[in-house]
Amino acid sequence: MKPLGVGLIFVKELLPLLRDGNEAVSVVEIEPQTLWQLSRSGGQDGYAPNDELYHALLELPQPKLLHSIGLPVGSSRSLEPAQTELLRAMAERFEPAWASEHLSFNAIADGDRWSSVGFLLPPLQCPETVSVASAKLRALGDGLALPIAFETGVNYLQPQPDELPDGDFFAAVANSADCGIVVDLHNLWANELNGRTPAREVLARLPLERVWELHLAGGMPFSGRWLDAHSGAVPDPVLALAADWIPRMPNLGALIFEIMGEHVPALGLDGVARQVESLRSLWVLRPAVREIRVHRPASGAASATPQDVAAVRAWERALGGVVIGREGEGTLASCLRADPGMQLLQQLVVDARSGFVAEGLHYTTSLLLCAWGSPKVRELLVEFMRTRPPELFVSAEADAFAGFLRDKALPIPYLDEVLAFEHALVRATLYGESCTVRFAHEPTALFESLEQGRLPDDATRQEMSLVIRAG
Amino acid sequence: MATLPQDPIPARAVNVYVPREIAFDLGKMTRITANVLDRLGCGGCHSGRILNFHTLEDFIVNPKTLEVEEFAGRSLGR
Repeated sequence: MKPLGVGLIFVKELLPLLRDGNEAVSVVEIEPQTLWQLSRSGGQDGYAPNDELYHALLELPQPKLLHSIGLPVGSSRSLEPAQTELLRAMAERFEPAWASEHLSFNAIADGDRWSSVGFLLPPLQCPETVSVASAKLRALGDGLALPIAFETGVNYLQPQPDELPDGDFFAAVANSADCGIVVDLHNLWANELNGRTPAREVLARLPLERVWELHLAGGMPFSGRWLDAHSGAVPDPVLALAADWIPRMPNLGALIFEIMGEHVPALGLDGVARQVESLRSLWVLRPAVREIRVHRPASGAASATPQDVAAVRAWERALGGVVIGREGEGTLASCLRADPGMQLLQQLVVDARSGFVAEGLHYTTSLLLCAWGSPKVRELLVEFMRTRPPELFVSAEADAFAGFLRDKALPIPYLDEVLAFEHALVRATLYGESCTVRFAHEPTALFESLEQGRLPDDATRQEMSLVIRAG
Repeated sequence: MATLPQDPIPARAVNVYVPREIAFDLGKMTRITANVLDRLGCGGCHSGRILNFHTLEDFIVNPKTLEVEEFAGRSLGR
């Protein structure tokens, strides 16, 4: 196939750069789950696409790549059929040349169900994980009927005793799965800054013919570490790494700049366009080939043994448990608790969960902050987080916090009606539930005041009800 | 609520019905409803900080003192 070229991760803030035949951006990478809504009606997780964003993407002229974030292949959890089916439907619609996933895990086994840990966490780099990950990559490739690749992840922990070196681990997974690699150069650089293997040593160990895609991004310092925050321009050392290694990657098919939507305003669309230009100057350094070879894994898949799965699951339970604040037992949990990266991981999960609550219950959170101020609201959030594990979707985290808040029956003016309204919308989305919400005050004045960051001066008393019905 | 439904507020798979007899700005409520529903998806791939709570916090609370802004001379904290 012909290489795709330079592209952007899709966030709706970048739509102006992708429309209007912008030839500088020649490929768009989609994180499929960001286009989905979670449904829990019927007691099972199901997913429905956001038609509005779907159509916006289908109208873009660029070829698409799928970069999944919900089925990490470093996890011992089996592929979730509901996600795989929707991913396959998206693959048929968007016709990507390949799909990719993260070599991470995001959930821990809790008896016969799984609990999210609120973050993509690093797997233990051992032969058992190689077996589990390669079997899962093959299964994912089969499920999507596509060539499949994994992304080299960020890892804020120190190397574990007897762990495979980073480059050797990535190489072993790629060779065993017979798949491609999405090398995230900013991840490798962040890992180096945070005490892991130097990025050049990692790259030197990779089967470079399997590198189909590069990710470049910016980050930020936080709590004594360098964060892979997708927060701005690509640092110069990362650009230098790319310039050195791109000429050695004969099957490189795409070079993607990643940025989170919330950081686009700070960099500006002009700034993003300059990053694209910078990537285009790197793109010309690749080997002079017209065609690249991207393939589905050869048949004869190896499977992971129960012993492999058990070893991987023990690591997941220890690391994931400590990250979400459980009282983990044993030497491994104790060692992980002492790792200099652990406090950072725990803080990032708290930030993410607080952010989900602020998103899904925007007006309720505004009201709490107006009434109580930050320290007390933060305490309330931490108390909530101790009661249950994180969720992958904003709606589910918001539903959980709303239930927690309702049970506390806090004597804050307007809270009952604001919370009831937002919770009803969340539950209509999540469970397909319909209900009547009663207001004691005129609601638009109430919500508009909160949008301005203040409580209403003197909200008009007006008894009224709104009926909220799932569509 | 005798006269429901009136005009539903169209907002992606969720409808909000308002009683006929209430004077009500349907346009404003549509925008508020959409503002809630638009935020309910998947958080996306991140390995950095999700700053949505901090952003809201900075917007509402004085970032220098972390004190709640005075509001209409009333004490609303507990």
